[in-house]
Amino acid sequence: MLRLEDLHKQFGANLVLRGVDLEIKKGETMVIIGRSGEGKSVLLKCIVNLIEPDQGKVWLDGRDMLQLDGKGRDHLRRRFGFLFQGAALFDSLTVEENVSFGLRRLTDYSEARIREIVKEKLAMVGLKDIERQKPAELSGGMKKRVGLARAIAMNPEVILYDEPTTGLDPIMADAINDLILQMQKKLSVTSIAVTHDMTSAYKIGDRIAMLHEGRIVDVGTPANFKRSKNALVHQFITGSAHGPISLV
Amino acid sequence: MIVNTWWVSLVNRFSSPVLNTFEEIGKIFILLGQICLGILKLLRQPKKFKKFYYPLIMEQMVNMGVNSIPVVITTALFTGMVLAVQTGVTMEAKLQGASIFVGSIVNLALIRELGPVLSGLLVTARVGSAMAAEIGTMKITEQVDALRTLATNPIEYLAIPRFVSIVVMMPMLAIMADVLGSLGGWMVATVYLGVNSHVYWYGAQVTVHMYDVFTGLAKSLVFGIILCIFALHRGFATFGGAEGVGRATTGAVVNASITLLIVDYFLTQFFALF
Ligand SMILES: Nc1ncnc2c1ncn2[C@@H]1O[C@H](COP(=O)(O)OP(=O)(O)OP(=O)(O)O)[C@@H](O)[C@H]1O
Ligand SMILES: [Mg+2]
Repeated sequence: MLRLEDLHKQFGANLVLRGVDLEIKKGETMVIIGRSGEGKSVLLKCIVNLIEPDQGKVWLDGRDMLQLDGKGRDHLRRRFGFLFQGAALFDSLTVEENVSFGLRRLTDYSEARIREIVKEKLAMVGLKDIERQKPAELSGGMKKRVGLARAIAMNPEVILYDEPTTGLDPIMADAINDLILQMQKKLSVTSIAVTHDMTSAYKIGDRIAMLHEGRIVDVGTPANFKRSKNALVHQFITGSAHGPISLV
Repeated sequence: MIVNTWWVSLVNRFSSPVLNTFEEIGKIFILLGQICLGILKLLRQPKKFKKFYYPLIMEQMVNMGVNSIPVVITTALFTGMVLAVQTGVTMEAKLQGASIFVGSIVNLALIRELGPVLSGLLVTARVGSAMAAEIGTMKITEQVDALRTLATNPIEYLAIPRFVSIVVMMPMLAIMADVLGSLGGWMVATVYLGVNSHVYWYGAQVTVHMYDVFTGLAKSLVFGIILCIFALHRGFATFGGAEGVGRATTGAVVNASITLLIVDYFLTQFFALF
């Protein structure tokens, strides 16, 4: 349903994406792994066109997302949920206003209905009774989860998670993994998740793709990944400082 | 052959700031165009406007306009008082009899020039800086991107309410500055200079015409647009952490203040034609 074709992006002299090709099937959870600074966040942003790629195409159901005008793009974006790496909560608004932002602006649900949905989504990420607080009063992990609640509030078809479990305690991280799995099973959401956390990658991923030096070097199921002969993949998933990937 | 002689590097050095300035000016006009188009679009959707934008605009009006009243009126009051002293004491010493013009000078200067310019500069410092910092912070913490993912145009959501509030509030602040400045001048003139109250107001009445009031308000409207657009432009262009926010804030205030004063000169010349 979602296909990335030959995506290139550079910032000044820094070549970040150098031809990313990847296909994500409907209802699948694709996990993207890769070292810090490889361009995983940039890749996610290119998909929803928060960053304009220099070259390449993003196909959604056979339509090129990059060719659309502002209105068409806004329309397509409603089908996406995006969890930012840094949560990106609106800090002048309360938690309730953050989570309900899209619902208030894009739907004509009643106030009571919106409150109910907010409560439900917050409960899904393990939070309650924080509706009236401001983001500045929350811990890092709580912010992340509010960001997640905001991303899923509109029941999107495609959810992009940028490091959903980073900064959470192991128990909460597992709960979030369960949540991602549930969303896939019950609502048949298509997801792309960026993560460094291999436990999480194995648990939620139908397939895993590794981004290295601006390209996808390997794609496969978690089982295949564990047995991969690719030295880059092997070094990454075993978390070794020694191997073909240089540290600098 | 060495092409890179001293004059080539000299040209490069001086041409890039010039080019940057033109680029900046271009971007500012594009932003202004986007805001105006956005406003026109919203006016055609009264329901959406009333539900989302009316509360946002009200909030900004209180933030920017109402909360600026104390600074603006204090400054204006003392400026009016100073003008009265300068006319009634300093001028009087050099040109006997000058003090009967106190009412004319204070009011004309305030209404045509000082009211709009001082309130414009004060609001630039107070509101322009805050606006650039707020939007700059939202930019670097990805909140502006987050708006986009929620299918909300940042220009519509962030820029338009601020722009509309400033455009409405600036002339009102200028009027307050005029009134308070005039009262300040009157106080000094009657209490300290011993000018008859009647003479003060009569002087004001014969010199200040409707046209002067109009030019003053037109100026303040333009100043409001200038300070707002510079602050928004710098805010949205912010990059590079806390330092970037600092740069955006300083840049917004400095550029807006300079532009405001330059434009003031040309507007004054223009209004003097009629
Ligand atoms: N807006 C930007 N302007 C300039 N360079 C950028 C920008 N965004 C990202 N980069 C650069 O792109 C590269 C990839 O950044 P990105 O944030 O995608 O890394 P990442 O893979 O998500 O890393 P991490 O796992 O640490 O989050 C980095 O070298 C970064 O410096
Ligand atoms: Mg990242």
